[in-house]
Amino acid sequence: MGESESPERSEQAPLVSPLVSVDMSGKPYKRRADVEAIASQLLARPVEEWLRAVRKTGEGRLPSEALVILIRSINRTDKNTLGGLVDELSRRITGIARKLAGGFDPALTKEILIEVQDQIIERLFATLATRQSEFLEIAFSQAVQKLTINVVEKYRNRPMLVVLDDSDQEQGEDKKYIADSIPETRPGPEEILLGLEHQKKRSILIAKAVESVKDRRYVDAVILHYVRGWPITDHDPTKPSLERYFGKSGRQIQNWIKSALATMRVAIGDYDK
Amino acid sequence: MMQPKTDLEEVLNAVMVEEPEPNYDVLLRWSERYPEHREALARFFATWAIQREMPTSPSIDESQLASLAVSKALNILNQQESRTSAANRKAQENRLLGVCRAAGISAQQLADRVGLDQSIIAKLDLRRISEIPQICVKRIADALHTSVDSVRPLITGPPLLPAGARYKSRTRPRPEMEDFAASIRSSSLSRDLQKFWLDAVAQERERS
Repeated sequence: MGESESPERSEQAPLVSPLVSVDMSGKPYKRRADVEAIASQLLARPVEEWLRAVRKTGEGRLPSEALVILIRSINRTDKNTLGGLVDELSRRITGIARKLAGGFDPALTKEILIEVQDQIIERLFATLATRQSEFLEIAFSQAVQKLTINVVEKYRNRPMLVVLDDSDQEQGEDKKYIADSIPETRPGPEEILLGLEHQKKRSILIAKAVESVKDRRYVDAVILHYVRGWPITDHDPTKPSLERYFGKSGRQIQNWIKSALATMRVAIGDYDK
Repeated sequence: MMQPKTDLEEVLNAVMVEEPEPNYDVLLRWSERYPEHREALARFFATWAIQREMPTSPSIDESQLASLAVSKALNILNQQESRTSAANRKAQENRLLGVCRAAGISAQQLADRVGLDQSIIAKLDLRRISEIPQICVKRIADALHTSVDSVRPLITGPPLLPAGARYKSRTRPRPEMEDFAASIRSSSLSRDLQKFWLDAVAQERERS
């Protein structure tokens, strides 16, 4: 089977240099076979063909890992082709990163996307190969997602220009929510919780809540608790809980969640109209 | 014995490859496996879980971001090229013949102005000659329109191997040194010039 193809493949294989990093268990980093095969084929062809190949969509779409190999292999004096390849890579980075960079002011989302992109490009042209730079050739999408999460985490931890006063909720009194004064034609709490279980409805509920809540952390607490199963408190200090994550009392987090759910009730009521 | 600390970035790479969803039970599993990163993992999973649910911003100008990416890439490459040229320049500045080239003087012209031949200039460039008389250093400095202090390190530093030299032994060979008088005797210089330099060496020896 395919014996006639072997010599051709073995001639092409050395065009892609092996990776030098090892993973946590000491195994050498290894690219996917299809990525190496297609990158080898293209490296043996004139560079004009590379640009045509990277613009293909659908079934013949070039894996991003192969695009990374091409960019690293190109003669750096060919700035036009290099620019074309980086342009395509950027669009792919944006496509992946924007899914994890939402919920902010558009200017901030753009800032986050630029920072992710800059970090990827720095790794792409690193003069010394590192695990992080070579990971782009193994799992490009996951590398971009991870970097986006890291950058978003950094932005979320930035000191806020306006400090929200949540001291009233430290008193432990249950607040009166807008939803409490709305006639009961609106969906009940059970319906909201049910809605959180369904992806499409959840997206609408969360989008509405993000627009309306006083503090984004209220929605964050709802997501972590109802969608991902985080407990509000846990006596085991080694286990993550919302109390530990937010550094607030369980009582206060419960109030946040109540407030966010109330906002969702109002929002979904409006949506159903 | 303490386990070596695993790099957090490596752990996160593995998480991203192995886990499709940032659920709490998945977080617990990774926290148990890498307790040294428990807090960082909790923050990472929380951010991942929250951002997965956030509405995607509709107003992203992909073309603008792509232009910024191309500029960034070209800037990095330009910086790398400048660093390489600067390193090459620096290497050249540390060599006698590099300084000659920078001054627009060939090796033959330098040899003629100083009163040496090209073989001795080549040996001086590779710092293979010991006991170089002061007058030689002074003449080179004059020929290059520079000071004696700038010339001395160019010809008296640690000896160099010729560029691209290949050797079979496991250890790097030590370049052979020669004293100035020996290199004068084995040169193609005229008898008069040889005598001039050998006298200069003898006088310097007498003084010291």
